[in-house]
Formats: sequence, structure tokens, C-alpha cells
Amino acid sequence: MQATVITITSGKGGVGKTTTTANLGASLALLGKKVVVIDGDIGLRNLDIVMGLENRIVYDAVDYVEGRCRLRQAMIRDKRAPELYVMPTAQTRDKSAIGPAQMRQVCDDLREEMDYVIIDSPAGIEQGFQTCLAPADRVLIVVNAEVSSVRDADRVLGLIEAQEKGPAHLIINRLNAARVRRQDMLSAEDVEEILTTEIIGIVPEDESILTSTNKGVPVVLNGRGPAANAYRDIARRLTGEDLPLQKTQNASILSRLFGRG
Amino acid sequence: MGFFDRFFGNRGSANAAKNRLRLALVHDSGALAPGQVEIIRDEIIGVLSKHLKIERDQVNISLDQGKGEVRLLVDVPLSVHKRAA
Repeated sequence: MQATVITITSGKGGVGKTTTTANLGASLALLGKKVVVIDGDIGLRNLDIVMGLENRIVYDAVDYVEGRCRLRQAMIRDKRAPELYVMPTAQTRDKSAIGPAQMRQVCDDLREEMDYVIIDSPAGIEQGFQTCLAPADRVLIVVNAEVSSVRDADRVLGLIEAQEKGPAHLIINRLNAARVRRQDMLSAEDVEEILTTEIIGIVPEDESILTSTNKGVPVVLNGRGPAANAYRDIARRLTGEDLPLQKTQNASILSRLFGRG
Repeated sequence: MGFFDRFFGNRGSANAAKNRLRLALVHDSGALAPGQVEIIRDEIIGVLSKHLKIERDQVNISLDQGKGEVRLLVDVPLSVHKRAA
């Protein structure tokens, strides 16, 4: 077995990287893959709480890198899927505790045992981002259809290209199809064209994300709904399945009746 | 004008976002510094005015993005008056 390392990044904060990481990890695990999701945001750990596993942390990635525990001890098993693990990061250590070389080593140690290693990158383009980019085989950029997010995504794309980690793919997150139809929000196609980067998935704005995050259950483990379906589709595309993109998801009945386009 | 436009207004704010982003990304890439467009506009007006009568106030410089390329578009309306009888 030789895992694929996927880094989820965005440049701008708050666009949905951690939610995306949790849901893609869980979706791939539900497809029968062995998956570990790694929190790459040292000092601002959140993947654990989004996934509802915050009370089960004993050791973290920094403990493993510094030799205080074995690999398996730094991974929390998520029992809601057959083979899903979460490697939390340290909350109290400084960001330099894991650099690019250490992150590469962690991923190499995991490659033999896993099908997918998914890294939740911190926002920004500083050291933490570079660390998470270093081991990546593929890079997914989470972007909202909004000017600051698109601009930051462009910066990140430049850095990914410079590191020869491309071609990256876009996940358009929180798209509101009704607003796109009113020409009040950039469309997925607009973002794809502006960034000249291919889209791997479009996740519609969905209220169930907040409620499921409140409960610590990734939506894909919790049932259906537009965002859950979109994440499952992205996971299938990551495994190589050729699924067409549905660029006009999330059309409410009202906007279907009255909207245009 | 569609149903939503009449009720919610804001038609085309997505288009404004798109155009502003295109220019911002070209600025970010270092290919064209912010403010340089204005300098280019003034110089183009200067050169063309030597040879042509142009509508100075309506010279428009914009960016057009196609597949893998960005082009600078310069739109210069000429002052054309009706020929004297």
C-alpha cells in the first residue's frame, strides 16, 4: 500500500478547510479506504473538535515527531467509519515544532499503512502552509466565491506552482446557487476561469454544516443533504471515478421557479 | 430584468467582482503595478492625439481573460463629426 498525500489549503482563513478535510476523510473512509486526517495547524487545533474527538486526545503529532509516542498512539481511531484516524496537532507548542522535513517524515511513515493521508493546512502562506505543502502528492484549494478568497487562492496557486506541487484543484465551497442565478455571486465557472484551475467539487451552502459541526459529526456521517452529497462526490473523484460536476446544485424550489439561467 | 432583479436589485455585482478580481490578480502577479494603467492611459492619449481626434474622456482600458492568457484591451472612441454640407 502506498498512500496518496492530499493537502487541503486556501490562503484565506474561514473558508471551510477543516470542514472539508473532515468530510473528505470520512467520505473516503466510508468508501472502504484507510484514511488518516492530520491537523496541520499547530497552536490552533480544530480538526479534533470539528470531528467530535476532542476528548480522546492523549498524544499528538508533535509528540510523535519528538519521539514521545509511537505512530499509532498519535492517531485517534474514529469508530464511525471502518478505517478512519485523526492525528491531532499540539495546542500549546510553537509553530516551528514541525517543519517541512518532519511533516514529510510523518507522511512517509504513514504511507505504508494508509490509502489516503489528508492534511488540513493552516490559513496563510507562511511556514505552517509550507510545512503542509511539502509532502503533498495532490493539493486541493478551498475557495469561496468571493473576492478576497479568490485573490488569496491565486497567491496560493502561485506558490504551489513554484514548488512544483501542481496542478492543484479547486473546491468551491458554500456556493449559493440562488445568488449566482441573480448574478449577485461569482459562479463556479467564473472562479474556475479567473484562477485558470480545474474544479474538483462544488459544495453548496448548507445549514446542516453548522448543526453537524456543533455536534461534532461530519455531515457525511450524518445522512444526506446537498453538502454531504457534494463531499461524497469529491471523494469518489479523488479515487479516480469520473463523475460529472453539477454546477447548479442547491437550487431551491423557489429559485428554480423564478430564477433564470 | 428577471424576477429576482426587480425584487432584490444588485444586478451584476458578480460581474463587478469578476472585473475587479481580474485586475487585482494582474497587479498581484507583478505584471502591471496598480496606478500604471492610468499612466498608460495618459501616454496612449498623448500619442494618439497627435494623429487623431479622440474622445479623451472615454478611453477605456480593461483586461480580458481567455484560456491561459490575459490581454489588455484599449478602447479609444474617435471624435467623428458630421461632414460639412
